[in-house]
Amino acid sequence: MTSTLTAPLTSRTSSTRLDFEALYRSARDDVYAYVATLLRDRSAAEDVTAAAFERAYRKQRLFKAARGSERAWLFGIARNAALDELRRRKRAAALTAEPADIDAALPEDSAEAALRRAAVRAALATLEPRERELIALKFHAGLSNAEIATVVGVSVSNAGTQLHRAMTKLREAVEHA
Amino acid sequence: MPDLSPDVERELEALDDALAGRRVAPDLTELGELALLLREDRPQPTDGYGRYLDTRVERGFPGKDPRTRASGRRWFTWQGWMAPALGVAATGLLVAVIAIAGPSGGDESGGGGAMSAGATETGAAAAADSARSRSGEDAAGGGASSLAAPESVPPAPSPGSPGTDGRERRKIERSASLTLAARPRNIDAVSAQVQDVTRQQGGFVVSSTVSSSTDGGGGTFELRIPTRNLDAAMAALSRLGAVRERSQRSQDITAQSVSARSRLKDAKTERQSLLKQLADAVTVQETESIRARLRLVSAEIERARAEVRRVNNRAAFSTVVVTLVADRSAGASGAEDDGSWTPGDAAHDALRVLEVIAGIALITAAIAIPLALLGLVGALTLRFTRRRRREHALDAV
Repeated sequence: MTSTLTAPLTSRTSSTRLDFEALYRSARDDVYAYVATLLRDRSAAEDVTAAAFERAYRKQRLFKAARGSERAWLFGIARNAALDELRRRKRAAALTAEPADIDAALPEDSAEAALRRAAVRAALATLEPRERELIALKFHAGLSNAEIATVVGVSVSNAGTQLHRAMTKLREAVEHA
Repeated sequence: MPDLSPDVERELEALDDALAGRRVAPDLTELGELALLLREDRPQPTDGYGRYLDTRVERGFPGKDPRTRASGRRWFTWQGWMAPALGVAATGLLVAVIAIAGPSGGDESGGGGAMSAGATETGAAAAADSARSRSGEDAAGGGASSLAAPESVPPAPSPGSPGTDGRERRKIERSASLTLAARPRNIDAVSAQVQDVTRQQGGFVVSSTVSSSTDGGGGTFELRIPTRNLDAAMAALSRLGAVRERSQRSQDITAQSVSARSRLKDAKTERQSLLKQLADAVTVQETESIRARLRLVSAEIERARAEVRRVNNRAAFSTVVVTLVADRSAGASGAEDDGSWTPGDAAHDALRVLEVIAGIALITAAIAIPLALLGLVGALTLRFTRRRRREHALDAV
């Protein structure tokens, strides 16, 4: 996807400490991917992603570099927005997951690659939400282990341990798929 | 990652190497391929959604986003600047409340003559009674009975009762007490002013006690002021220092006046009768008996006259007890101020202002700090609860 941002945003944000434009450009698709994996709902993921960027835009003056990277700060906001959505769904008792959208195969896939991809998706679906979230933060959002630790509120070593455990379960699930 | 086992650390590094395009150890090739597959298979937003979001960002998120049904938008959003603003507003409100309610302690320096809020009628009555009992009732009359001990006062009849002899002839006894504060070095000057005012108002000093020193001093004055000048005298005395307490009392003594005049009239009537009997007396024994009776009646007349004078004097003159106390913080009054504002006065005033500011700040802190701590605990509790609920939502998927 090609960004379509124009000059006004640059002039608006040039005076802030946080370069919101750059952060948005670099993280838009990553945030969407993370939220979509967490929620497993494309429509909800779009809404939550928009809400997360809006919150970040309005709170950009509260960003403190000493507390972590810009991406970790942004994904923390996205995580809260996604969890709020999960809570709202729980209250509404109407979970409307759209696994078909998420599971759509890429057109250029070969048969073997498509099978492999389907196996991974199926294995991913068997993971616990927290494990799936770590996978999404690592491989879909591209965060470092330190940034993951900041987002989920654990130590770096704990984040690494949890990620390794999730990957082990995923590998086992893929092998048995 | 010092807490991780070597194998775990090695596999995590292999994941990072694979994602970064670096070579992965042969035994971890499968893990690297899985990492790449996961990254390639991540959900992608549609172009339409991307353009929509770009436009929202470009415009600075104007208005409400019709699509953000999941945004959890609240009617109120806490902004970073609100905390200090709220603190400043609360402190300002607190200071205003203290400033409005604070100075009502009776410390009305400046000698403006305002009546102290702490003055009580009971205390004033006690002071006036005490002053009257000490002074004697006929100090102004100069009669032989001026040293007579105070008698018990019968209760006055209520206004308009049959016992009174008309409103225009009512006898009202008034008394007052006044406590003034002055700086130690001004005690003597104020004492002299008290006597001057008394003399100017047609009164006199019954008794006075004055002591002065560099560190303190004070005095007590018992004055008799013509009742018609009492209000003017009180106003003039109030201007001599900072009024700390002021009270006035009045009592209807019409019944006592009527009683005294009646006794005098009866005695005079009896004397006239005795004089007639004396003129008609024939025997020596009869004459001596009447003369003895006349001596008793004459004494009774003198006592009745003295009583009438005493009652009239109580109504005509009011007892004013002025208590003068030394106070370094007392402001310069009209009487004690010589018109100059010295550097010492300025320093004293500045110190006083600082004391008041420090006091207000202390009270504000005493109230604001516990409130702030409560607010902090509440905010932390709210934050912890919200975090727990969010985490619980993730567990419940």
